[in-house]
Amino acid sequence: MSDWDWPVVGRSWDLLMEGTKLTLQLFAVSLILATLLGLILALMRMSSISPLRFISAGYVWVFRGIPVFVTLLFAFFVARDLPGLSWLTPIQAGMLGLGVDAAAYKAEIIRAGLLSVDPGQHEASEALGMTKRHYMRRIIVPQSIRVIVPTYMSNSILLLKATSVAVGIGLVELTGITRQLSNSTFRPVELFTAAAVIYLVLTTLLVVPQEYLERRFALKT
Amino acid sequence: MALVNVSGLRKSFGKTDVLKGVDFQVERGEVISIIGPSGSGKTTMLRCVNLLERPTGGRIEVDSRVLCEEQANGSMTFADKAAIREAREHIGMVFQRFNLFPHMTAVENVIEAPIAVKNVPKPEATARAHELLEAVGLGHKGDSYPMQLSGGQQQRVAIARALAMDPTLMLFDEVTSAVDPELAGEILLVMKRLAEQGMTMLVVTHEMGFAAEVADRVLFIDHGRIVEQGPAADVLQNPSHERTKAFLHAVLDRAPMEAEVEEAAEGLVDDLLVRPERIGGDDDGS
Repeated sequence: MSDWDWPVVGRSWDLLMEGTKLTLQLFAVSLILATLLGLILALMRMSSISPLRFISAGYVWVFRGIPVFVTLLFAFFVARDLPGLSWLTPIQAGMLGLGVDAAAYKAEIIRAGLLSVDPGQHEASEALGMTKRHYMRRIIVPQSIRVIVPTYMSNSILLLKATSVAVGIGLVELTGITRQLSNSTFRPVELFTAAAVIYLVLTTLLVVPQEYLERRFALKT
Repeated sequence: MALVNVSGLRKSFGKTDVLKGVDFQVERGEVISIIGPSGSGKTTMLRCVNLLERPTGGRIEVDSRVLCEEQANGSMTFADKAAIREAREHIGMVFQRFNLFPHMTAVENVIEAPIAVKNVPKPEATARAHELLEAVGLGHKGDSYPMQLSGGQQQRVAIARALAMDPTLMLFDEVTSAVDPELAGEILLVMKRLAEQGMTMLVVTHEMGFAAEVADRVLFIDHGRIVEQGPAADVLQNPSHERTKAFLHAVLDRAPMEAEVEEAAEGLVDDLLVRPERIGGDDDGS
């Protein structure tokens, strides 16, 4: 079609990159938060202390059952009204909402990975007199990573894409900036195509650490 | 004072009573074979000795450490976690399915616990690991990963791993059951040497040959109770109890089918295994 204006993408490039930068910040911080929280929740779920198991199961039940957008709105409107959290910027509220939501999934992925390790590995470690702390770190977790990585990375791709929901609380990340640009230039097709390609490049790049980790933790045969 | 003192040992899984009151002692340097039909409770009994299985009744004492004790009101008290770990440092265990750490080399498998639990410096632990692997005939396999080794080799690494903690007692749980028959001999040979060096051993096994030649005493367990015990020769050749006779009969009747397999292993294990057909003659041709 002759009335397309692809150079608009070039003219908007700096702003698109600004948006991409915020998208990556949202992704990185919420991923770290989700992973740490997910690990804690997974260990709580496997604990012998029943209140910890109960809290962890409840957390997963709640946040897996609520749309990420609703969680995000809670983080934006409700969390910032709480006494200790009034300092939260909108961006930080976005990171919190995304991280808290993803943690429920990470917890299940990590738990499944830890459970996939042969119970004989626990028994051998116990029989040698190792502390649980030691053998979890040295024996169980390294073996679970092989199982965790593929699902963990798929879920991380979902998280990267879910950052676009943050446009709903007014954050100008990649989707937000693209919408603003398309409103002002009336070039939605060109600009959203560019945004789609940028998302595709980012998610494709996530395959690199995945392959590295899968090689690193593969069993030598 | 016996090294292991077990009295009134009971264990239930839900409503299933697996052990119904077991008493036995193990003296220092003694080698005891525990035999019995599958489901008789022999593995559960072994696993109670290092509390991998928590008894529901009775008392266990190993090397003057009380691991668990039944109170007058029937409740169980267990040694605290640290005391149980401390006891386990001195009780080596070898499992049916090896349970080597698959992400670590043979040497790394052997040095992990001495470094972590006994604070042995790494160079010292590594030197000892090489010695132990040498002793089980795997001096050249130190850098191999478990999946690169045969079942027999993996099990010998597992024995070296247990020995690296300098245990006073070794528990063996059907350690040849998961390996090809022709590889069982190399494991049994290592165990025989260990017995000759004075190690105290509790051996749950289906290898009647090992029981006959190496064990000082044989315990026959059925339905959660010790039915018969005594010197290996007595129990295996002149069983006094009907159930022991029936069990030995069933085991020995299988011998002709296995004869070919065993012949193949003859060269390797001839000095170690007493063939079932050499134990008593009462089942020949009957």
